[in-house]
Amino acid sequence: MILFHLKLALLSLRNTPRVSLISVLAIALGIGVATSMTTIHYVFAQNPLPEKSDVLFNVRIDTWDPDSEFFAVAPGEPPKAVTYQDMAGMQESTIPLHQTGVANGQIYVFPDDEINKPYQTVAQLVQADFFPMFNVPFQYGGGWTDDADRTREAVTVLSQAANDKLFGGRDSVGELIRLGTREFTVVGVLARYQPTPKFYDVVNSLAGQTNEFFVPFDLIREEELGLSVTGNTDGWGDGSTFVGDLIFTAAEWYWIQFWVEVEPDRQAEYVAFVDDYSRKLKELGRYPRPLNNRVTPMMDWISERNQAGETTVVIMILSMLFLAVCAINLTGLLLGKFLAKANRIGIYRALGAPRSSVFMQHIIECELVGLIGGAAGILLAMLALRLIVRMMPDLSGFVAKEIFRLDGTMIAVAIGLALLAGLSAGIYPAWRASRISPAMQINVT
Amino acid sequence: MEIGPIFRAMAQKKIGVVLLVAEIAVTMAVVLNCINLVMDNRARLMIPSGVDEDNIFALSIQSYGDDFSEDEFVDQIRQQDLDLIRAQPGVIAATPISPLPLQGGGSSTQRKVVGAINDTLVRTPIYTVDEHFLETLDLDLIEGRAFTQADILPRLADDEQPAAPRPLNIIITKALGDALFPDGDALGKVITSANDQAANTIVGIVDYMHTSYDNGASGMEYRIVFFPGRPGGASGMRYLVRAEPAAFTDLFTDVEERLVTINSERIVRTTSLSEIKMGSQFVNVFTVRILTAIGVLLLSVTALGVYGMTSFTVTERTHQIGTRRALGARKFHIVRFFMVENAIITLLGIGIGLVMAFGLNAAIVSSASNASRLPFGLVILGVVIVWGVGAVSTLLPALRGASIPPIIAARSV
Repeated sequence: MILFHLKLALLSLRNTPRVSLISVLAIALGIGVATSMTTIHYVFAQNPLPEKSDVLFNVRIDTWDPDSEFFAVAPGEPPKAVTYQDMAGMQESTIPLHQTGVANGQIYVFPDDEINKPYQTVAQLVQADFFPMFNVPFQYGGGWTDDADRTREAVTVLSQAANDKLFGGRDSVGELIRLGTREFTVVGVLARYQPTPKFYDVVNSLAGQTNEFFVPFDLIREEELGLSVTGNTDGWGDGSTFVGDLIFTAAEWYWIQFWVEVEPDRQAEYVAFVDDYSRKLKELGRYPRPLNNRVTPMMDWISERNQAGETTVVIMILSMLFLAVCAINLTGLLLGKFLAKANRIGIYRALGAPRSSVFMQHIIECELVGLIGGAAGILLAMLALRLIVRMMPDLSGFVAKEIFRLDGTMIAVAIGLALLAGLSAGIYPAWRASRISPAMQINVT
Repeated sequence: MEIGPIFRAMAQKKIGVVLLVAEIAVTMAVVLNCINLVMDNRARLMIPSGVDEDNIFALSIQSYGDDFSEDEFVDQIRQQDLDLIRAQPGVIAATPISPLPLQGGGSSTQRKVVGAINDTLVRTPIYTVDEHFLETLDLDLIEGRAFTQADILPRLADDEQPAAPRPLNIIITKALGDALFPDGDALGKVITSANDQAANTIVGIVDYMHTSYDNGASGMEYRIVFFPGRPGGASGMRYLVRAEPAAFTDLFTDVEERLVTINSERIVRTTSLSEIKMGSQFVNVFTVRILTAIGVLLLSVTALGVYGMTSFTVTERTHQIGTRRALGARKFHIVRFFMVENAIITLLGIGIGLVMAFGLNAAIVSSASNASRLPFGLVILGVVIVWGVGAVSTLLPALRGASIPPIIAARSV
């Protein structure tokens, strides 16, 4: 029966090619605009690690200057990063299954080949737990051990892009690459990995490209290595602590994203631990502010730090209203079309087609328009995204251009919106068509 | 006028009227909010930087040679670089700088009047520069003096670092001066940090500069401090070069290579300041372009919709129009009938649309911190635009209706 309806619907569309074309274009335009704008919002708002997002937390404690408010956060919020001493202090806890600091270190790469000249890169400073904790996929090898963190071993994990560039994509585990003043041993190569948003460091790189090198965090304390902290940092207090190794052990210098993985049944316990930890600091006199700690779930942290999100959500809403206007136009078009063939519908009815069947027939025709328009709209959305990417300046460290594309979810959203638009535009015209009485039509002709 | 028949005609096709009213209402709401957001974002894009941005380019240098770990070597190379740059024909001035201005964010600190409480701290972006920065950025010094070499303090070894920063002479923008010293007597005053340790003497005041920092949230973007110093090191050095317009392109492409001849163990990248500015303003540029596109598309779709629905009505009423014409109505009367009918519908749509527009605006303002309320003037503009689009799209089918010959009335259906 559905097939029969579909056949009739196709026939009907072909009978009025002009109206059909305009209807399809209206939906295509609406879907094209709404889908591309939704995609732009969604890439920053999506969950990059759905299987673990409810057990991952960003931790911050407020040891900021008692005499001034921290800026660049909502009023009353603690600084957007933690100090080295507090990361180390909080890592004493055994409650988290995994925990890692995440920060950025600038270093020179000296490739051992003719083609690649030395260049500067931003290495991702992480601890061994980073890889298992964030389900990071490996192509070759794996991460490093806690021991390597402790002994500041010169090991590195390469991104897929770095391995392609420096080692021609081969299994480079065990090979050496000079970073700064030392030869680093490659222990692992990532498979394709571009979490979007780049949740573990949204402060410095909301959706930027994955860093080429991951190195043990504490190498930052090896002064002669040529690795220096980069990215967003904030500090206050005694200037004499801002030199040498004191900057890690004594300075009030905020530059680390600190992440923990805590099982649901121990989360309350962990929050209590963080409060205890900062209470102890208070007793030691380091911590004059009232307790103001945050153990923020991953997705909340992403939305808190996505400042462009306010703009993209507004644009998304406006684009949905655009789609609504397209759908209203479609209603007008379909109404005109269905009522124009009242004669024919009257004959169907006289020949025994029930109202429900006439209604069904016309709804299917509307949904067909929706689907064809939706398909064209998806193409339009792809085109729109490509144009938008083309006008973007190079911000690859903060937002990689590759992320602006339609994935399966967005295509499903587009089809869903198209069906919804077809249905809402068609329901009244189809109902009107089904109310056409058989007798009157026969009388007139 | 035939108001009575118009209303009776509208009552005959209620759903058509409802559709048109809904379409115009939503269009009104969306277009008004698009224009408002575009104006907000454009206003931010139009803020002058006060800097001769079109004639300035930045050289970003990454030095990987081992020698660069020595500060003295870095200082020596910086001097050679700047001597070479300043000797190029067409170069007006050059300064080392850290961080780059106009890039969005950078480095900031807080300052207050000595002895004042911390509630009076003013946040300010900071730039470290040498004595050539005024001429390089093309800033107007309105009080005091420029930096001299003597303002740049000698380097200290790590173990000689004092607990409190050494006293420094600084140059500030007038906006910062006014924020700290409302009486306008900032010159010669000393300002300090939250912990009262810094001692910065204001030796010069520049008229104006704006650098994007916190999206305009706090006013700090106009309140700027310049510190004299030796910015940059092994991990990165930046120079700004201001060139004669005629020499800009050549210098932009050539200087890079010349610097490598001084020391080849480094990578030099040249970027124009306008490009750097564009990077920091991309969200605004994007919003302006996208919302302009959505607004124009929406008005076109609505115009076509009104045109289509009016055309449909005209066709439906062919017979009645013919009859009216046969009874003596002139073409003008037919056009007027449709125009008045459309005006009533548009008015209804605009009325409902205005309510929706303010509702939508309230939602936007509550979710986007930098959005503004709909100004009254904009409402008038929106009414004119939507009314105009509605009227033009009605006029064409109405004219067609008017050309229906009276003889139609004589024909049977």
